[in-house]
Amino acid sequence: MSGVAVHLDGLRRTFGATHALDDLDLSIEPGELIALLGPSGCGKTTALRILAGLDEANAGRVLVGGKDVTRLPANRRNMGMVFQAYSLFPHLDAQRNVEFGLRLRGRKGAAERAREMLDLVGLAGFANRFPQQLSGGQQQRVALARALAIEPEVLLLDEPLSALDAKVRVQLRDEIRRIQTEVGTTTLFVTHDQEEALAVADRVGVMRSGKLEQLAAPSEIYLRPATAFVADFVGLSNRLPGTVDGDVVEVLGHRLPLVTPHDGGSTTALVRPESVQVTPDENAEARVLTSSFLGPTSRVTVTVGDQLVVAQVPSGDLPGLTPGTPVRITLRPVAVALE
Amino acid sequence: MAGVAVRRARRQRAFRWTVLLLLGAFFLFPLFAMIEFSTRDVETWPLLVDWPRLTETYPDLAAGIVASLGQAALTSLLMLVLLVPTAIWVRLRLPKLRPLVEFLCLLPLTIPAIVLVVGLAPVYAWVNYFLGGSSLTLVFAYTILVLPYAYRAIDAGLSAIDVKTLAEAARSLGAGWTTVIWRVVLPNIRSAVLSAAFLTVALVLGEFTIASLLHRTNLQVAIDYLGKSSATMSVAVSLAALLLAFLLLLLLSLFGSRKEKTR
Repeated sequence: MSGVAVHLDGLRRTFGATHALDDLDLSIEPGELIALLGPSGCGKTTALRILAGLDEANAGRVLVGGKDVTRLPANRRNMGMVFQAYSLFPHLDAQRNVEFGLRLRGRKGAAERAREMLDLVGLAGFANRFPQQLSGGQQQRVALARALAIEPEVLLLDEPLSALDAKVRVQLRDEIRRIQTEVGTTTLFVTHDQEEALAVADRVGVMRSGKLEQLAAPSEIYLRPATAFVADFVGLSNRLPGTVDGDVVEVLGHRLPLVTPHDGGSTTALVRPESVQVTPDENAEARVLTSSFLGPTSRVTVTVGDQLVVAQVPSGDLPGLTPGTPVRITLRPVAVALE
Repeated sequence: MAGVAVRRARRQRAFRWTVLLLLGAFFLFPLFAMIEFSTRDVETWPLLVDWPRLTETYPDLAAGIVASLGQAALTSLLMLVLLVPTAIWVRLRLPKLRPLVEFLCLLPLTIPAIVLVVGLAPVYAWVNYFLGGSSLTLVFAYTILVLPYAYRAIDAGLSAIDVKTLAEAARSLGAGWTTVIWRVVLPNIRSAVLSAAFLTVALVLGEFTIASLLHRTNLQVAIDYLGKSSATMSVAVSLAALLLAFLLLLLLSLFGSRKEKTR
């Protein structure tokens, strides 16, 4: 089924004095996968629940395929949802779990369709297993099959991977992307894991205090963060003092382009660790403080005067960067955001 | 050292067995006495299991048994119809009300039966007026009486599953609220519902005070009357009722342990 467009129009939701959503506008193109990313309590799950019909907005509209569904109850919205908590019905086996939505709709060939969906998520041989006989990753796959079986207009994924261990999380994340691309369902994926969001989404929406800070392609979010919050939340950043001069900022003696223009004067620039190059140099003043091996790359903390700078370096360079080594710091001319 | 430990273990074992035997004798002695007394007349037990003859010989007792069985069945039904949807709804939509509902449901436990009757008497004047004086009208009072036990059982069942997520998953798949309760929540709290029903049956079959004071009949009231005319039969029926309640509680604990094993 090809996807439909989704518009969240001026959504507002308050819980007592807390504004979970503050005039949130979000448009999802047909067949697109948007990831909503943000810290706990930023309103991302509330937005998803309102789209699902499981929560009601105080103001605003929800449009799906051009139709206003704001007042429509969840069971009449035709949306598939995968939850953070394991949500398979414990008294039904995998096959019957997937058939559940189809049987409610009185669809003929429900069993056949359920088998197809279990096959799609790679669990064809597990149809007769009950949820308690499946691993966490398998349960979430069945939940995905169940959500997709009803051919939903929109697929909603509410942190579906957060209860899984790291390796399964990466596998399933890639699988979700493959399946979503294959079936072409418009999808909203809510997560607090930036790597997950950047890896699966067509566009990532970074949320803060009930508002979208930036909605853009993953590379754009990472390389050209619109605000200091986005730069800080997505990936690691060094906060380095700098001076704005026209459309560049001078940091540690390097002139770096700016993501957005600035008035000028003293400021703090947010520089990614991978933009920092560290080279051993006997005559340099900077010294390696700590170095940590992280696998293919390693992290080195350097002191420059009273300033700490974190750099990401190839692990092959690590033996030459033991604590106390004098090093020279070079910043790659990548556009930076200002705090 | 090892010898001291062995001696201590032996002493503890002996103490355990002594306590067990003493308590066993304390509880079983009256039962043996009942068996002995009720079998003095060889006709008693055969008569008890021969329903047509029992009805003919002791019509009041037969009426009491029928009334109690009817009350047990209807109380279970009314309790389930009232309590299951309420408990589910409170968990799903009104979680803040849970302590209040729990308090209200546990309240009958703290009120002595005699006080309950004093409060219920004027209410039952109206019940008599509208529904007549049938013994089955005791079902309303019994439903209140069993609330603490039934609520605890059902609430424990609901605590064992993630009701909110299951209900939301079912709703997102197109299920209305009735379908959510009937096809998703109920099958997953089946053993809790059975426990609540068993407890209800056991309690209703053993109830005397309210029935007697509200001038209704049930098994216990019938046994009380019977005790004045035929002591042997009254003891035999008491023993049978006791064994039935014991059997129900045994079934209940069996269901409980089966639930534990599957988890």
